Amino acid sequence: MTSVVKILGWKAEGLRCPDHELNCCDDNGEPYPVSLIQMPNGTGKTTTLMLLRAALAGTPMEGRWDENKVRSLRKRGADSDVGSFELRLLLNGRRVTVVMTFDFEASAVTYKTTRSPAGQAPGFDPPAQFRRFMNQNFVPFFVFDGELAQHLLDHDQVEAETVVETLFQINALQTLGRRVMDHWTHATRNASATEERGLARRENRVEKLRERLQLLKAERRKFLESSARLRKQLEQYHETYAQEIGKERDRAEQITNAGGTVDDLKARVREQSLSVLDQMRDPHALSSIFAQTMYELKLGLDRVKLPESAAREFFEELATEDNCVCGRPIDEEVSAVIRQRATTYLSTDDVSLLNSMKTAIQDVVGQSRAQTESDLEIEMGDLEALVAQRRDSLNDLEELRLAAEQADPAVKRASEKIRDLELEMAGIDGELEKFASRDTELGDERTFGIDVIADRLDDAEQRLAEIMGTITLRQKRDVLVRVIESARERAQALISADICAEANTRIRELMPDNRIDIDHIDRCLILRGQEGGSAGETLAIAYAFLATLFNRSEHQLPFVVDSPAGPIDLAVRPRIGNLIPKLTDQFIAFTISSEREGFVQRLKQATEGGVQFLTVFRKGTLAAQRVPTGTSPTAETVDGVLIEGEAFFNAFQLDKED
Amino acid sequence: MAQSFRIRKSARDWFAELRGERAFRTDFDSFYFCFMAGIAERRKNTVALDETAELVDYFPDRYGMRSKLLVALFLTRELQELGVTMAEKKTVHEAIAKLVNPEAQHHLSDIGVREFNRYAYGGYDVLLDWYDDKPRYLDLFLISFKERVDSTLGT
Repeated sequence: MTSVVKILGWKAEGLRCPDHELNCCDDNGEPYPVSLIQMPNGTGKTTTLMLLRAALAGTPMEGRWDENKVRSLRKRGADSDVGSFELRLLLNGRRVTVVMTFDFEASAVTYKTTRSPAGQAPGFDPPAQFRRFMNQNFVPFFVFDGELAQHLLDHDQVEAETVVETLFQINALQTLGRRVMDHWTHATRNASATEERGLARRENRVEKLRERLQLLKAERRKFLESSARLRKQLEQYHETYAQEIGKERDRAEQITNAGGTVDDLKARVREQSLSVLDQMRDPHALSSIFAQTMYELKLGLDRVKLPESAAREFFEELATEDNCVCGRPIDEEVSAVIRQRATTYLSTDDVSLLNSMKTAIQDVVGQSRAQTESDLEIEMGDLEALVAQRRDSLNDLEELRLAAEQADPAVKRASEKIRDLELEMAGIDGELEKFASRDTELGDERTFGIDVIADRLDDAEQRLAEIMGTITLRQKRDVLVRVIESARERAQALISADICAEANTRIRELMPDNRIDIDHIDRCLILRGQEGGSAGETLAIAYAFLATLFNRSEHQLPFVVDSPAGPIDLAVRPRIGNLIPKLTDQFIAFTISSEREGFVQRLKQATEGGVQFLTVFRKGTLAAQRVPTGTSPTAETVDGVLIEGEAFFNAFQLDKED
Repeated sequence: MAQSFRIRKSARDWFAELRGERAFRTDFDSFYFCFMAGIAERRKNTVALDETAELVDYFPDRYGMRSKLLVALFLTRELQELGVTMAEKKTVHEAIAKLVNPEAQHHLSDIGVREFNRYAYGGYDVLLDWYDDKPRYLDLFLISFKERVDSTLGT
């Protein structure tokens, strides 16, 4: 079901920002497609943005409302012990108001939500379908600042992946997977145990192993990400190194030639190694002692005439006869003895196998026990010689490189960086190895092998299922969870690929000369061939990415941005101005006067339905003194002034309050 | 159905880089080097089933041609371990009958393949004694493996 969220306005009283009330709607009560709110730095922009987020999410962005957080919002010098922030919303055409009341005495915040037809209710209570957008994790994507733009490109953050998963409801598959697990847990909890003894212990073990597995997977993922990041850096430094080396032509040629020799010898060593390996697959080539051992087996068998010409079957048949071959009668007792002793003889097939084994031994070591090993040793000698040549050629190459480093500090720097990165990567690889460990000797808490813990969990769940009599249910659960996980991965991959392609088109439109591309989404946005961009580039990438997301999604969310063009080059600003109306049906931006250039006019031209221009500043400050005589405030509070209108907006020149 | 050869999972991981660089064609190569190390040092081990991975129930690739030699080497070591000499014809008979199965592709009875695997399990312990670190380069591994085998066998 489509979700449409619009912000109608808000009102702040008794808080750190000046008291103010903003109405984002035109005379017909329709929200403006674009509202620009100009507030000099120091007026409380950050506070207002923070309050908006907290009202939309039902909680502050980080943690909870603690004493420090609440007290920090109290208006300076205020007499009153209370403050409030009221946010008016239109959710799928229905009005919803969220009021946060700040009790500075008790350092507490209470929420109230008013909506039809439910009326006013205590707490944060938006309609259920909006909760997946109106929460701590998602609100930062549409009430947005430069920090989120950075996070989208930060390997330690999962912002990009999260927004894709939420907006396209891919996380519903995760929820489904969790529900399946919950259902199973519930079913096993309610099932009457066939054996009560040990039930709690088995349940605890399953729980602990699950937690351990989750923890190890999360840790491994972190290391894998670091490893990928370092690998990219390493590639870049190798390129830098090659470029720096290439500046000195003679030396570059020497290094290229030495590198060629190394590569050639590496190939020859590999070829020779494979040949030696093939010979070593013959056990008698590995050592003449093995050859001798096998040969002695054959001789020994020959000496004692094994296998015998009489096979087990002869005696088994004899036992069924009335008389022995010697003429004596075979009664039941004798027959039983013959049958029993027949088992000590080899069967015809055994005889045949032993004979063919003796033939095989004779074929390969009958003539000489030492020849095959000698052949191997000759090949091994050649291999050792090649390995020595390769080592020498590597030394030569290393010497040339060292000379290049000594001659050119830039080469040395790149080389040192490569060595550092390789060292760091080796450390990470070492860390990663422990997750692949098969060591089963240690207890759960000291075991890092993910497969080992997964096997233990599987075993523990099986034991729990056994005691609970829920084995079939568990098997069904496993199949379903696998299907869900595979669907989630596939959906994530396909949607991400589409979004990257479309976002890249937008990035090229915004910054045709910057050659920046999103390569893929892996938690964050991974750029092709580079780690990150300037602040302006980062913001432009974020706009392009979010514009693509919001355009493709059926849901309509407002887009509230702090400083929409601040860090962006003047040349790029008009393109951002063009893009913003396409981002969303409602765009609310907090700006300062120096951001207008190159941005506001183009934004106005690109916006159908008009732009709302608002300027807010504190009473009794430098800004207030600069208001031309005769200008009437649209609204005035104890400490704040609001003036609506484009002319005043454009004439206002103050970036920072005094 | 005949029992399969099995490799210790940790042994498979130990050889991962040689498998990764396509030097070892199959996991049976890893199994073979473990087995030969076990045979050289006469060391067997018993390992829990869930710490091992199933391979095949025959000698693959080039090992197929040498299957009877490998079984012969195995039988020799088993007879030595039992302290049986060729003069004790009946005991040799019984021991061989217990270990081989001509109908199995690998020529081994279930008991035989179990004991064969035990040399490979013990052989991995031998490799851990022989090497400080897992093998990363085929050439260096082969050269040192031959040296270790020679040194163990006293040649």
